[in-house]
Amino acid sequence: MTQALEDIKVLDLSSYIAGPLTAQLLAEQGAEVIKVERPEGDPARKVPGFAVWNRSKKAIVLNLKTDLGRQAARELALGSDVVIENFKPGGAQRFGLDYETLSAENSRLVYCSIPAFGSEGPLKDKIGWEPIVQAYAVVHQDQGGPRGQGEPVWDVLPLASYYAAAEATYATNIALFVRELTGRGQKVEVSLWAAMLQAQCGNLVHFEGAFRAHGVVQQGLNPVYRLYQCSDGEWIFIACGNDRFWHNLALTLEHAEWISDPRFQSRFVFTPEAARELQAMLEAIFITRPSDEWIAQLMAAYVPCTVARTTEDFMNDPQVAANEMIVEVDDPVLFRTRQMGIPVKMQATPGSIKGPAPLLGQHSLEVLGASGYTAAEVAAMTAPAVYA
Amino acid sequence: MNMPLENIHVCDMTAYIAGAVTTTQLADLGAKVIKIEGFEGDGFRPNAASFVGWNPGKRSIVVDNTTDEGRQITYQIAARSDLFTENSRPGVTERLKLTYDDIRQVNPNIVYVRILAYGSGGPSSGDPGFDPLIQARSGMMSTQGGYGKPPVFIRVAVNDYMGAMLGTMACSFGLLARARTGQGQLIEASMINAACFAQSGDFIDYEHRPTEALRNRGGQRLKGVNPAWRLYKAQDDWLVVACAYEEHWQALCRVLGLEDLARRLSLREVQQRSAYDYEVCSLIESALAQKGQQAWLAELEAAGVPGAATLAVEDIIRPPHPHALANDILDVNQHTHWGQVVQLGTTAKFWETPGKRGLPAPLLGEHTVEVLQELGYSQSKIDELLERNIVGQQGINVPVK
Repeated sequence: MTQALEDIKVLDLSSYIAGPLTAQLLAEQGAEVIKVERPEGDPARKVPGFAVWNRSKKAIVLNLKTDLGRQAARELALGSDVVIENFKPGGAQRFGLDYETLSAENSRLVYCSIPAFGSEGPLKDKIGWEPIVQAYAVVHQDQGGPRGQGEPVWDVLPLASYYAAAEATYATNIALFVRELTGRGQKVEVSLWAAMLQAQCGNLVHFEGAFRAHGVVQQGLNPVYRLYQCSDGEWIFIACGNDRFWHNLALTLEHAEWISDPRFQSRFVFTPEAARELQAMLEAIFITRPSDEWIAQLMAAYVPCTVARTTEDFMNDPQVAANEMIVEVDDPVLFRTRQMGIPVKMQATPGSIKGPAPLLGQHSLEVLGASGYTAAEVAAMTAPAVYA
Repeated sequence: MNMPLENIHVCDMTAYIAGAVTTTQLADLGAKVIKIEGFEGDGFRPNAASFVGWNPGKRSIVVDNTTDEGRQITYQIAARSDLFTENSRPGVTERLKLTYDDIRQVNPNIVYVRILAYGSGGPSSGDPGFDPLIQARSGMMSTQGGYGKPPVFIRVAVNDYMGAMLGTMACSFGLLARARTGQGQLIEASMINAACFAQSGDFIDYEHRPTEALRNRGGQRLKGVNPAWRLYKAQDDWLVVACAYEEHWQALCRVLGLEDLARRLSLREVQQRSAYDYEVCSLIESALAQKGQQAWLAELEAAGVPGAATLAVEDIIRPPHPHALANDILDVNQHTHWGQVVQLGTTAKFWETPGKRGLPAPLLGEHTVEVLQELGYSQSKIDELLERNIVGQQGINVPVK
């Protein structure tokens, strides 16, 4: 065996980000993935990320509103090891592609469900657009500050989708692992909402006396763990995550007296007044010299820091290249691209990119033909409803 | 079989967030995790409440791995484990003789997972790796803050948690490959890779890529993307409206009594405007200011307009949110030191072999004696090791507030 998921067949019924990305992660560690799209295609085909989230798959179209389309989907699902879905609530049942129906005929099936809010509870039927999930997953309010003090702030990145993809991938692998031991598949569920909360598990803790720094500041709350602007206009992040780093900072800035000042001794217990005072002093210091000089001095003094860059800069970051996280892919729509590599590096069974994101329906004839359907039947089950 | 990983043992050398959460996610699915700490403890123990969030389900043993006797204890734990996890800076495991090649000597089939900040090679591999450094370096802060404006520190520790997700994913790939081949291996994930992954839709370059101006979606105290996909303040609290289709927009305007606006502008036209477009946003804001958030959300829902309440941390855990209860993702436990704790529980759901949160987060060295007894050490030997500071049981280890 050369890859972890070699010979594992995955039917990817999902669209947008989380489900497709889950299937892509499995594909690039060896699984054979067939992506099923509605005749209009995955709505995410409109964004460049589609080219990344759907690499290494075959793509077929099925109109699930036709009997033949549902029949073909069901046959493919029953022949698979893994089914991935993120239908709207009730969608899988409507098409006969729900876990109960499929597992009754294939007890080895691992059924990975990635709903927006989970299959139970008062929010379960809510539509799962990213900002709706983030709002209920406390992201906006927490970014803005404590309620009543800071207005919520919109987060740009679709983090709930990315976290759900990663969590659903490990859940699917673990279900496949369990199947190796028991011979039985099962359903796993990771909702976007729960995954977004999982990525805040250090905040979602309450006990008597629990303390959590919080405020409305957007450049960082702790004066030794925040952004500062330099004389060249660039911003640097100073990350004194422990007192050793903080004391290094005080020393290299020639303020040894801060270390012995009881107000500043430990970065874990600054009072709000002390924090404000220290921040003002540091702002006045950092604005006096350009960022590259500060980075050189602070790194030499063993103070963790970096300049805030853009994502474009990051794509040219030598560390990214060293990790093989930027790769060239010839995409059929975008042509020559540079995009993300494979994030988990397995030494004995390395992953691989098996091809660019397929065109809509690129493999319909090949895959459905292999299932025994005639070209006319394939045409009927892949056509939009208006033509059927 | 009860839990998915009930027979999996983890020798866990990780600390801070990315590593610690990696193994908590395994513990949540039944893995038996022994967290090995030095005498100073996990560097993030001083973040007392967060530490409790990052480390439930594990036992803690304090071992001085710089001594031969201490290292032998770690080898003994590794020999009985399926997974070995570590997130120290490159060079540290070499110095402590705890590399994959070292551990393989005592356990040939070990799955050895490294959750590094930058990766094991490359120019920055030795740099310290706090999450915001990766946020800044990877462009996340610029994306959030807007190009040419102050970068914004994202409150979610994006790369720490995504590093943890990749870490658990690495463990799961490794366990699956081992179950299918009998072979363990070395696997690596990193926070740099996590930053690529968590921006994978933007981390792409091609000839006709939109200009920087078009890609710039960020801003200071950002409120949204366009007037129909945005945060608004109702009379008492904030809410999100998210219109993706014309029918959503028409319904929103109808609910708000802004039929004129809907007649004048289609959703497509509204989507061309900025989230700060005065003409449209002020009309919506004034209308929403007339009623409270809950009343509006009920009306929006009845009209089929996607909307959301902006919950805060306390809304999830104090008291437990009904949706969190219904999905069984909260845990209430008795912590040895902190008493009753309410915290996030197991979020990955398994239908046949559900996971279940075990122990609360351990005190430093809380299980040192227990683990040594399981390894077959006599009480007198344990006392001697404690006396000589080869192992320790330090207790709570948090600073005075």
